[in-house]
Amino acid sequence: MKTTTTGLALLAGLAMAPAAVAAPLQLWISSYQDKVYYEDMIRLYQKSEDPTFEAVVTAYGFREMPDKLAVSIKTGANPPDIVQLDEVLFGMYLGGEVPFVDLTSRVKEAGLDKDLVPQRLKLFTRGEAMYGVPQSLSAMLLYYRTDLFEKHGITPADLTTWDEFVAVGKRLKEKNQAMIGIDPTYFEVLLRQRGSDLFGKDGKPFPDEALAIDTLKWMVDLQSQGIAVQPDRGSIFDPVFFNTAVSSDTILCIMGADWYGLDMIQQFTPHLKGKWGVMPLPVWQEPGGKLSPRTSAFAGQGLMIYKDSTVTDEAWKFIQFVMTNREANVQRFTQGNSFPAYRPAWKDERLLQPSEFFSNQSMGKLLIRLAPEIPEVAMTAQRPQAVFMFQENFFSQLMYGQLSPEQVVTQMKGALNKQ
Amino acid sequence: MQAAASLPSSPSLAGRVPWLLAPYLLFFLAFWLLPLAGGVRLSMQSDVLYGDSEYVGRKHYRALLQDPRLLKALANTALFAAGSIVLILPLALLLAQALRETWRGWRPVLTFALLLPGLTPPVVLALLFLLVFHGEAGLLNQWFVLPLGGQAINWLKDPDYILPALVLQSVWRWTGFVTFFFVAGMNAVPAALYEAAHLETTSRWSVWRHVTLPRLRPVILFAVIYLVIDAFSLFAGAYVLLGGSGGTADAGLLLVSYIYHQAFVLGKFGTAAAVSVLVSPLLLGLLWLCFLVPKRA
Repeated sequence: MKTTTTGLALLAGLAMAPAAVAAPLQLWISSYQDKVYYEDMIRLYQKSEDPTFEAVVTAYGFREMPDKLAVSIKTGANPPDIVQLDEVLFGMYLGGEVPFVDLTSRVKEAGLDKDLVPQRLKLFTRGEAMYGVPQSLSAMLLYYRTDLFEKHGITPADLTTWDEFVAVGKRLKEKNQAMIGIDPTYFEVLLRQRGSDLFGKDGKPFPDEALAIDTLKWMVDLQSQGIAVQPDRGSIFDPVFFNTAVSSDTILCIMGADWYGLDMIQQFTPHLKGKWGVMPLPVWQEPGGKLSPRTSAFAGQGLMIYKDSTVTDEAWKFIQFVMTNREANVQRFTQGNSFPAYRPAWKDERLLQPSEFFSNQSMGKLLIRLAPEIPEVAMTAQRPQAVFMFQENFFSQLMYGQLSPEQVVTQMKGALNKQ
Repeated sequence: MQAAASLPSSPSLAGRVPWLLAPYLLFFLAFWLLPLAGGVRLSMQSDVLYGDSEYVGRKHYRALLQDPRLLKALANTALFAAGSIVLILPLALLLAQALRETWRGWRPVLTFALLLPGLTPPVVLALLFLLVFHGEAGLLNQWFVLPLGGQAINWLKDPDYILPALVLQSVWRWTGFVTFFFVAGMNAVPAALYEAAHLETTSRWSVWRHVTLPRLRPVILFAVIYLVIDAFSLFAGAYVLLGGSGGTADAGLLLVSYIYHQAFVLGKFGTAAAVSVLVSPLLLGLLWLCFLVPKRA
C-alpha cells in the first residue's frame, strides 16, 4: 500500500513539473584567453538585457576548434549555436554549402554595416552573403624595444620606409645585432601592404605573381643580410621565441597585429614591461614613387551562427549585444583580446589611454589613425590551405635556399589550382 | 587428457559457447564492423562538409592513385617503420640482456624507468620533444651536436632531419616498452636449455645466439608487428612537432597526417575515408608478410 502511494506521488510530481527548460545556448570559442571574456559578457547580457539568458562557453585551441567543428557538422552530434572562428580558418567552410546562417540582413538592420570598419566587413563573406561578424581590427603594427632603440641610437622616424629599415639593419649587422624576427605570415602581410594578396577577387592564387616573387625575395635577402633572424621553430607565435630571441635582445622589433601586442607580447614578456613601443609599419616606396599604406591586416576572430541552431534569434541578439555594447567592446581591449572593429566604441577614453606596458604610448590612438589604411583580406575556400601550406611546407625551403621564390610561387600555385 | 577430451562433448558448455562469445561479437560489430562499413560508405560519397552528399563511386580512389603526396606519405611511413624497427630491436635486446644481469633489487626501478616513455601520452611526449628538437636552443643541439663541434641542426625544419627526428622520438618512446617484452621472453626460456648449452660451449655469445634468440622469435615478431602498426597509426607525435601538414617539403608526411590533411584542412572527408580503406589491404598484406617471413626463415 505504501509503495503504491509513493509511486502515485512520484507520478503526480512528474505531471506537475514545469515544461522542459530551454537548453542553454552553446558558444564555442577558439581561444582559451577569450573564455573569461565571454563568460563576463554572458553575465553582462543577463544583467542589462535578458536575465533568463543561459549560455555555456566551451574553449578550444586555435587549430583544435575547426577540427571539432568539422566533426560536429559532419556527424550532426552536439553542434554549437554560436561559433567564434579566426578568419584564417573560416575559408575551410566555404567549399560547399556554408554551414552558417547568412547574417546580411540582420547586420544591416543592426546598422553594423555602417559602424564596423568597412574593410573588415567583407572578411567573413562569400559573394554578397555575410556569414560572420568581425570582432577585431587586426591592424598590423611594428612593436619595437624602446630600450634597445635608444641604445643603438634609432628612433621610429628613422624607419619610415622599408628601404630605411634595411639601411638601419645593415648598420646594426656590423655590430652583430639583428633587427627583426621573421615569420611565414609576413609574406601575406607584406603582400597585402603592397596592394596585392594571396588570392585575387576571382579567387585565383597570386593575382600579381611578380610582386609575390619580389616580396619573397625581399624576405630571403632580409635574412641573408642578417637583418632578420628566423625563430628556431620558424614562428613568432612560439612561446620559446620570446624566451630566446626576444629575451636575449637578439632582435629589436616584431611585426604583429593589435591582438599580438595585447595578448602574446604582454603574456610572454611581462619582464619587458615599459620597454616596448608601437609604431606604424614602414611603407613601401613603389617604382612610381607611390607610398603604400602604413599598415596591413592579419587574422582576427569573428562570430557566426550555426545553420542548424534552433535558437538563431537568441544567438543573434547575443552577438549583436557583444558587437554593439560599448562595455563589451572596451572589455575586449582591456582584457587583452583585440582592438574592436566597431567604430562608435572608439570614443571611449579607456581605448585611448596610454599603456604602461608600451612605454606610455596609446596603442588605441595609433590604431584609430591607421584604421582607414587597413587593406582588405581576400577570402576564399583555399585561403587556409594556402596559409598553412606556405607556413609548414614552403617557408623553410625558401629560407634554407632549397627553393627559389619563383619555385615557391609556381609550386604553390600548382598545388592550389589542383584542388 | 580425459578432462580435455570431455570438453567439446559437454552439451551444457557447447550450448553456452555462442552466448559466451556474444559480448565480444557485439563489441566487434559496434566498434569495428559498423565503423568500417561507415568508412567504406563515406569513401564513396562526395566531399561535402555540410548538406547532402551524393554517391560518387570510385572517384576518390581513382584520384588518390594519381596523387604523388599519397605515395610520399606511404614511402615516409615505410621508412619511419623500418628506421624504428632497425634501431629499437637491437637496442631493446641489449637492454633486456643487461637488465637480466643487473642486481635483482634494481630491476623494478629500471623496468619502470624503461616503461615510462611508453606510458606517457604521445601528445605530452611530443611537447617534451619540442624542447629536445628545438633549433639552436634545443637539448639535442646543446648537449650533443654543439659540444661535438657540429653546426646546430634545425631538426624540425630542415627536410633532411625531419624523418630522423620522428624516428628518434619513436625510439625514445618504444625501446623501453619492447625491452620489457624481451625480458619476459628471456625469463620464459627453460633453465634446462641453458644448462644443456653450457655443457656444449662456454661462449656466452654462442649460448645467446643459439638458445635465447631462437626462443625470442615470437616476441620479436610481436614487437615488429607492434612497431609497424604504430608507424601506420602515428599522428599525435607528428602533429605536435610538424603541424597538420608533413613539414618542410613533406619530409615528415606520414599516412595519418595525410588523412588528417585531406579531412580537416581540405574538408575532404570522403577522400580521407578512401585513403583509410585503400590502405587497409596494404597493411593486412604487410602484417601477413611479418608472419610469413619468420616461418620461411
